[in-house]
Order: sequence, then C-alpha cells, then structure tokens
Amino acid sequence: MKKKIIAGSILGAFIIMSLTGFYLNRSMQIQRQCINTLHRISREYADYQNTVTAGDEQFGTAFEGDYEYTDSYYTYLVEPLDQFVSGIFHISQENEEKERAGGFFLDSQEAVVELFESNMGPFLKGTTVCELSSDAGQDMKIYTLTETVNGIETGTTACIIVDDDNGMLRAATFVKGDPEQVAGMDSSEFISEETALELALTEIKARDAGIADIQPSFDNSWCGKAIHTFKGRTYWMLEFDAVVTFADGTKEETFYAVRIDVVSGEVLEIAEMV
Amino acid sequence: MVKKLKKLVVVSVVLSVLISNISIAASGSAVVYYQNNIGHGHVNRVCTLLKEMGYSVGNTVVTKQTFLNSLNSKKIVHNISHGTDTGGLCLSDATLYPSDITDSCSSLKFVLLESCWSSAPARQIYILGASCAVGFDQTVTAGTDNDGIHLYSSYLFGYAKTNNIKDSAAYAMSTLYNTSGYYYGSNSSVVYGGNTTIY
Repeated sequence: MKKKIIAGSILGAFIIMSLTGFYLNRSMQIQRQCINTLHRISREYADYQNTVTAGDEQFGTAFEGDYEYTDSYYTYLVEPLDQFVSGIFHISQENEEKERAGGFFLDSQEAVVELFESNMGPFLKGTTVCELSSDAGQDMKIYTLTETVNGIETGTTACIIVDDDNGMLRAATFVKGDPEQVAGMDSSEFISEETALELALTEIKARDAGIADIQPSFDNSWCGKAIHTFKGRTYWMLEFDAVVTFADGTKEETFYAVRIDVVSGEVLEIAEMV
Repeated sequence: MVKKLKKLVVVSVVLSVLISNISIAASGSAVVYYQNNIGHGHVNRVCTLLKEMGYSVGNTVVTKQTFLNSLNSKKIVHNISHGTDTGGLCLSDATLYPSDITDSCSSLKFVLLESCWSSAPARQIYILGASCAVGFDQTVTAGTDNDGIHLYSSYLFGYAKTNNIKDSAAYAMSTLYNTSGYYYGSNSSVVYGGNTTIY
C-alpha cells in the first residue's frame, strides 16, 4: 500500500507541475520580460543618481580598461523615468491583448516611432527632429532613434530591439545628450570629410610603423561618412574598406571605423576589422 | 480510503513544491578559443562568467581539428578569430569553412563565433544539431582587446547568466551601443535557436 501511495504521490506531483507549468508558462514569460526590463531600468536609475553629466567622461579612454559586464555603464539616461517605466507596462499589456487577438504590436517602424512619440514626447521635444534607422536581424529588428538640433545629433539616442516574430520589446536603452551644447555649434567650422580622412590615414600609419601605404575605399554598402554625437563629442565617423601595404610588400584587406572630432580633428578611436 | 486519498494529495503537493524548487546548475565542459593575431584580452572575463554558471572552462589557441572535435564534445564553444567573407574561420593552422563541418553537433548547447562573416558556419553548426549558435553577417570591429565586439561577447555571456540567448544578444547589442555609441558590427548578429538557456 505504501508503494502505491508513493507512486501515486510522485505521479500526482508531476501532473500538478505539468498543469501549473502549462497555464503559467505563457503569462510568466511576459511577466519575466517585463520584470527584467524593469530591473534593468531600476539599475540604470540607481546609477544615474551617482553619475556625471553627459560629456564628463573622456572619449577614447572610456573605451579602454577592464570593462564589467554589468549595467554600470548605463550612466546616460532618460529623465522622465516614471513615464518610461509606465510605458513598458503599457506595452506588455497591450502586446498580450494583441497576441490573444492574433495581431502584432511593434511590427513596423511606424509603430515604434508612434510608441516613442507617445511615451517619450517630453524627452524628444522642441525643435528637435526624431530620425529613425533600422537594421534587420534574423528575428529581431533594431531601431535607433536619434535626436537632432539644426541637423546635428545631440547625442540623445535610443536603441530599441523588437522581436520580429511577435513584435515584443526585447530591449530598450537610452543615452541622454546635450541639445543646448549642439545648438551652439557652428557647422561651418567643422573640418571637411576629406581632412578627416587624411587625419585618419595619418594616425593609422603612425600607430603601426609596419604600414607603408593605405588605400581606402567607400564603395561597399557598409562603408560611409557621417557626423554623429556621443558623450558630448561631435565627430566624423568614417567607415571604410582599405588595402594596407606593409613595408615588406605584403598586402592586406581590412576595414576601419574611425571617429574624429569635427572641431579639433582629434582622432578619438580607430576600430579595425576582427 | 478518504484519509489515504487526502494523504496522497498532501504528499503530491509537497513533492511538487519541493521538486519545482530544485535548481540545477549548469554543468559540463566549455572552451574559449582565440588566436594570437587578434585581441583576446576578454578571454579571462568570459571564462569567469562561464565558471560562475557552473561550467568547467578552458581556453587555448585552436587548430582546425581541435575546433571540429570540440563541436561534439563540449557544451559551450566561444571562438575568437578573424573571419573571411566566404564564411571561413581563420584558425591557427588553417581556415575552417562551413563545408568542413559535417559531424553531429547535437551535444553542443551554444556556440558563439566572434568573427567577421561568421553566420554561415554558425548556421551549419546549428543545422547539425547544436541547440544555439550565434554568428555575424558582416564585419565586426574593435579598437582594443576590451572594447567593440569583444565587449559585446562579455555582455552576452553576462546576460546569459539569467536570460535566454536571444534576449542576451539583444541586451548585449543595445548595451554596447549605449556605452560606446557604435554597434561595431554586432547589429549584424544572427541568432539560431535563441530560446536556449545556458545557465
């Protein structure tokens, strides 16, 4: 009899677990996503209390050293935090309803823009213009919202990643820029893209004595020249393929992404293909 | 009879609570491969993250055959090497192409190929049975050993301690962008089998 009770108990336990898991699984997934996002935002907010204002960190040196994988680098945040957090919950509830109805929520660029204009209106305000670009992944869409003043980025950006399968929000992080600083800039004083490229090539050669010559090319779709702002620095971002000839005559094809301050011409970063 | 039934129900509920609260730590063998001609200053950090998840972890420069062997003997493989635009991984003795990968990878839980144009070999490994594989469709870049795409990998493994790989990849990408102002090619990442967890 005892054996029957034990066997029955184990069977019953698994039945209870299976049924509970079946009914809770879906709602727990949604809750979990919501809670994860909220935790991240909370941590960001905690960091924000002790952080510096945008631009205090030195560009370039901030990219070196032993980085931690935690969220401690979320130091540039959206100010109307409460509004954003309520926005997250709004998204989840509505998403669940849409899913039940067989529809999708954040399934287009327009939907993302609409969401951020409705939730982030006070943040992206005034004479600023919200620009949108996107990159398609296998099953996620990445939206990068950029705030600009007089055609120059303020450094305020949002990176929103949406699940392409069901429109669920996967990640949303923000960097706060400085519109006033950018509004005071005179673009006629910026160095030209030709000068920026010349400075970039000179610096690449200076960092590697073995390089005899570099021939850059901007022909491919992944290459480009554009002005961006980040952490209080406005810079040329030059992304180009290059054929590098070394002193011994060997050649190598590579790719560079170089950031150069648009005013001082300082080379802020040289990233090379892995 | 009623008493026995009650007893059965009580024991069942207690057992279900006990069993559902048991958390099983990840276990098995993980490896981080690198090449000396590429920045690998983040290898120790990734190893630490994997150890914290419960894996026994090694790291070494890798040859083509060793890499292939690991695809059906390890649970986690993270490879840092140059890649070619034809989907090749430049290992220490030879370039490994997707067509070289032919054996089952069904014991492999997760592979991260931290190389340019590595989505093709990642796909091949996934097709051959790995639970999850991540590669990149375009070039990936870094300025130092610790930034750019290397930092992305650290973020990904950090987030993977509590999230599935798909979410971890998304978090890593957005975190990298908002700490660095640039994706360094991580926005071309391709995630196969993203619902997999490795914690």
